Amino acid sequence: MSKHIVVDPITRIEGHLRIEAVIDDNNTIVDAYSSSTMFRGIETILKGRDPRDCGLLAMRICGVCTGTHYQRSIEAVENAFDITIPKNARLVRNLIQGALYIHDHVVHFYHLHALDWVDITSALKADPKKTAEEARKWAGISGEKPWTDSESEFAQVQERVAKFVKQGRLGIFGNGYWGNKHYKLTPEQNLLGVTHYLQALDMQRDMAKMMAIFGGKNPHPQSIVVGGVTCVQDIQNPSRIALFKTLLLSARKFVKQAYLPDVYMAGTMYADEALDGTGGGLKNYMSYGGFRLDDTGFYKSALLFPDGLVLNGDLDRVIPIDQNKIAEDVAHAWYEGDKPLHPFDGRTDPKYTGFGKKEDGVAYLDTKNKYSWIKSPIYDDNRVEVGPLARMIVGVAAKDKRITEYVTKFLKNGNLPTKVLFSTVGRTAGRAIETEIMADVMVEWVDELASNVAAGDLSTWTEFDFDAVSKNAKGYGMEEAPRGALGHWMRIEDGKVANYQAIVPSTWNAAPRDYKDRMGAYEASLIGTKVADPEQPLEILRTIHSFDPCIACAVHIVDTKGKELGVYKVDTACAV
Amino acid sequence: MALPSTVVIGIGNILFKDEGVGVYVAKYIEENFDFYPAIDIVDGGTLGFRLMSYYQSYERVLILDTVSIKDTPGSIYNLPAKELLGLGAYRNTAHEVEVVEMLEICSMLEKIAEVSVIGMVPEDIDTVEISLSDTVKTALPAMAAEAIRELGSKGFEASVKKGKSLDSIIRSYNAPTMEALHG
Repeated sequence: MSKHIVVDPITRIEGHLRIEAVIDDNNTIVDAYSSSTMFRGIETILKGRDPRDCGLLAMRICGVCTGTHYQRSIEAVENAFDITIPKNARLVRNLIQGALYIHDHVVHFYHLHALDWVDITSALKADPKKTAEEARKWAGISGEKPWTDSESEFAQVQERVAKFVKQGRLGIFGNGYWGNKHYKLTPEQNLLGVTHYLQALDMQRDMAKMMAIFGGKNPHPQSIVVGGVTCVQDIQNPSRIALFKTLLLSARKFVKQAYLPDVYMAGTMYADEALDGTGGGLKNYMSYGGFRLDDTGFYKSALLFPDGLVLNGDLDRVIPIDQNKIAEDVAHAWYEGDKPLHPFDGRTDPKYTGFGKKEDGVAYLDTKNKYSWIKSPIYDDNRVEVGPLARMIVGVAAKDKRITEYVTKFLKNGNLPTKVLFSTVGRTAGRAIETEIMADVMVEWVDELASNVAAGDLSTWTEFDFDAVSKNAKGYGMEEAPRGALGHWMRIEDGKVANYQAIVPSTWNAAPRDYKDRMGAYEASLIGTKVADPEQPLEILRTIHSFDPCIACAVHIVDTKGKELGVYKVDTACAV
Repeated sequence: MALPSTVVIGIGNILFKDEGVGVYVAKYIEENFDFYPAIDIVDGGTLGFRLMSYYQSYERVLILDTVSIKDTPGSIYNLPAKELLGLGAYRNTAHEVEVVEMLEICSMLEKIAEVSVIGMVPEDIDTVEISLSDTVKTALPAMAAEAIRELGSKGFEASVKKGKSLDSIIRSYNAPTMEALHG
């Protein structure tokens, strides 16, 4: 007898996502469906606007990735108008995006994902002295000193956790699947993880500051404009650049002394499920390519992350990306449409058909028909996965020197074969490897910016004649955002937006089945996973979280379902 | 004695009609009132996990938002964090990584801001449109008044200044221009 597990909403992600999984008698997942049950549609709002202003609204798609949507929208216009931005502008944009990567990846690992691997309550049984030994051991793997190996610090954290548990403090303690047998770290390793979790809370605050130095106003940046950037004063001020570098170096230290060692630790302790490919999924990986390294212009420059498509995990072959081959299909999504469309011609006309059968009070997705608000993007008739792991895999397949070096070092230090990459553990490791690459390369960029400005180049903006270039144009801003390939497509007629479509990374990954009934990346990644306890979908969360889902481009409301809150109602009769 | 550092954050996605009510209320307060001592007012949009830094950096955080309570649209609630945190333990109804989950994540810290939420029950959060329903628009000044009352009870005195009407605030959110920002 097969059994349905419904996880709705998936917590610790950005946005609203529902997963339905079917397990067999051995508690192995045999089928899975991913659905975002909330509608989004920025496209209709942008039609008819001045293309130069679209970034200011495009950033509202998602509150976490404001800056990245803002920049894609601006770059779609620059691409349409054939504008090449100055070197300073390119470096500043790379630094803003790079800071976003580091912040996002660290917060994702520690605060949104770590508790899928780390059992907090087990940390109470740890010996602080042995924990210090663990800290030295895992940092030592890559020749680093540990972020902390102070026995007394570990003991303090342990005391704090014990106190909170005793107090019955609500919050994360109430929410975990503590004690589940698929938690595999020792008490000392769990205490080390919890300690870093707390330290990362402080670190992330500095990482957020880094983003604001050149981005301007947080959380809605405004320093990027069509043609370049406006933060001229910041780049001319050596103390602003120095502050950026100080924050960056401290973030980099944390990445090397805590984040990477923790991933070595998890990779080793969970090696069995990495080796058997748990969570591998589609094994088709795509990167649009990202972070320009020279000033030859869009889609011509050398890139930090090469573009490419790798099929069936074949690292010997990489296919270059042609944006003409991207299409979105709505066979299983709640939209009108009968065939996959390229984003220049894309449509976003809602057609909500509701849920399917209802049993024991639970309504299930109508999986034979439409069942999600997310469309199904397709590349050259392939379903693909995007994200940090895809970038690492495409980089290795493209024989990129820098990426290959970091990936090889990781596997060698961890004593792990290449195939571990094709798994949930691999997805989490790929993100850590990428964070180290980004932290290192950003040091080069910030020095390059300082020396370029010192040499007298103060240019931050390329002039253009709007009326001349905006009669009839189309362009796209395609980049690698922290969660994967992101594109904004725009058609412009008589100076106004005629059509606008955005395909976000989580669209590629979280999409439902397509017109050929092929699974999306989340769906495929769950097949074959063994669940220890069907009442505790720990393994489902672990794999879905490994993608770092961001569905926040939807509604967002404080949910108070099931709570009686009448006493807090404000009597407005006497209000001013 | 100095009052605890305080920030008012308007949260919500202005692309989905009434979902933006918190953002508009925050702006409305910023444009029409001065506070003594001064407070920070932030247009938070859909901040997600970036909320954490505010919980860590301030002693008091007042969030203006929508609440999905089954009640008449336009109804206003003033909820202390304690009530919200209780929701987290009830797994199926916990909100995503937002106001509540960030409270959970930060609950490991020794010290975080005292957080409370003033929220309004929205009427229409499905229409993709930068505007407010008439019901919510009518109720908005009462929500602002509740926020001002809450701040007043903590020692922040509000005085009316010559400001901007709600309609003109909504209009500027509906048509932001680079020119207005950068000249």
